[in-house]
Amino acid sequence: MLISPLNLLSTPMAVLNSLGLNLRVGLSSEDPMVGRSQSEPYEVYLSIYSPEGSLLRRPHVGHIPVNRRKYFDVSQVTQELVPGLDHLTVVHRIPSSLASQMSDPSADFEIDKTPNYSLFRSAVEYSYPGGGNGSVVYETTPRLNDGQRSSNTFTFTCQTVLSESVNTHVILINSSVDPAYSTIVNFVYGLHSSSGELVWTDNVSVGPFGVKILDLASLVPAQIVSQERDPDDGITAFNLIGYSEEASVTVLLVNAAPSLGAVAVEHTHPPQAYIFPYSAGYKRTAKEDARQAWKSILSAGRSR
Amino acid sequence: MLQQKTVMMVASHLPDRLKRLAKSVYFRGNHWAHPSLKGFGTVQDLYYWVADDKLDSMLLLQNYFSAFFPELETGTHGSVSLFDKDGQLLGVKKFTVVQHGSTKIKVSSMLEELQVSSSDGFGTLEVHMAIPPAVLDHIQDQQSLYFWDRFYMGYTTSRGQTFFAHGVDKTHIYPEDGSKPIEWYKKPRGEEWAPEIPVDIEDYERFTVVMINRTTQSSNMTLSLSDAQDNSLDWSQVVPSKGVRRFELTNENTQGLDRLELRMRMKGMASEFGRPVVFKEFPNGAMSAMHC
Repeated sequence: MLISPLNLLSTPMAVLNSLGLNLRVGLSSEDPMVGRSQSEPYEVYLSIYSPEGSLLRRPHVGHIPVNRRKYFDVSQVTQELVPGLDHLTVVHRIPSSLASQMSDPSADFEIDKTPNYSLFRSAVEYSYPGGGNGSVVYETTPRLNDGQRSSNTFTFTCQTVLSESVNTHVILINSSVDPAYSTIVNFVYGLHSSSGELVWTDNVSVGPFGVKILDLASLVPAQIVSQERDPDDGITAFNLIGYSEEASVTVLLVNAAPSLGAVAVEHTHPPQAYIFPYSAGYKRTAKEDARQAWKSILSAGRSR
Repeated sequence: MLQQKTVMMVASHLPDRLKRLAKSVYFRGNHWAHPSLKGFGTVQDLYYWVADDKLDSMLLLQNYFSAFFPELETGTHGSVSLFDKDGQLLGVKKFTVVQHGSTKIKVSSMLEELQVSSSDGFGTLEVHMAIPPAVLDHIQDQQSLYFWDRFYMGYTTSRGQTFFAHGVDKTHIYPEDGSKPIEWYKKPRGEEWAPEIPVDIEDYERFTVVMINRTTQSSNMTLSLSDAQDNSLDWSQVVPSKGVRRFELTNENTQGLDRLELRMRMKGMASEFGRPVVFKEFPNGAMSAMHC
């Protein structure tokens, strides 16, 4: 069967230059689920996209020997090409045994059987220079926006907090396993207060192979933030609901406290991960029904 | 466990169409996720809490039923059960949450309210949010449906930082008929996990690996830390049922290993997905957490 070596093991990552954050990625040559498959060496490539979503370069950035962990300083590699703006990169691991047989990693390759690389994730780490770091492990979801089936997004999370020192940045990544991908995403979102009131709705477009940051402290009017602030700890917390009809968007939450030299990052779970229906097909139905209902609510700008 | 692994290994070699058929035969009328998932209910997990002079734990319990069913009245109620590090119940706090809303509970406040003096300052907790009646009515056409409450546990530092870590596994099945909770796992499975994250130990003031045991018996867990020369150090702890233990790594207690790109391996993990959550403390006072 024909496979795309670049899509065997990859992770789309946002370089967040506008937030002053450095990006590293930690990679392993071991299966995290010990005993499932043997460790093997990998060659590591980095696809670097412009802020407009054009592929600028895809350098070979290193090698991971058997049974090893390695950090790659993504910001250092990309700084020269895109010094100030936010943009997408995708890190790829290709088994060295495969890479040695290829002249071009972007060309499809014939193999007998696709190996199982599920749960092979990358540790994506943001840090302030001289400060602490925050990291999260995730990978490219299978067949991400491959154009062969409908793709969309429905997400929700409680991880949005604003305080004197902390600000939540919602990171939207619009990537694909298809190099010809050209879909522009319209991400519609709303914020609910703890009392259930819809206090803020907005939408934002994200181009193909692009990233966008929702800086909640800048977007949400100060009066709303102030009204919802807990006087005991100074924290304003919202529930985020968001969807897109066009494509599957990777949603990360970066909680940054630059004055403390501190940053943390976490992903969101897809809604399908919240339910165990007897009929597995209901997962898709539940997500689709919810997305349609929220489309109606958020487009009308009402909460209940 | 061996039988399950053998079945999974054989299944992984089947073509997709045959795999689906084999799965339906294997489960024969039982729920594909767990045979005890009958009717309706929720699946809850154990989370790590800490409340000491540096960190507090903050539950921001989002009414996730509103996310799935925004047009239904989804106001509901629930409880937070707090356990010590050995899995012994410290107390229970009830809460309500309105439609589209959330409830904030800080563990330090809960300890005060419950008048619990936990000298250890850390343990496990479990949340149980009841399915709202309107949702229960709405899903009756399903043969069986369980909600898995995968919330994000918040942590706040004494310096004013906030960060989150998601849930990874399952602990109890709460049938909606009110019958008593069912254990998701019975005996520890002795799983092994190789976290992807490289550890540059000199970056940290302290790097803490937190392990929860979601099964019904204690489990002996060993953290191995190795360098590129394959030198390694091991630390072992017995983690009681429903309890939690911390493996604290520092520059001092990892002497003898390289400082950069160390690799972890957790042996004796009690459940298949009960993988570690790590807490990073930096010299400038910053902190963060991550599930591996």
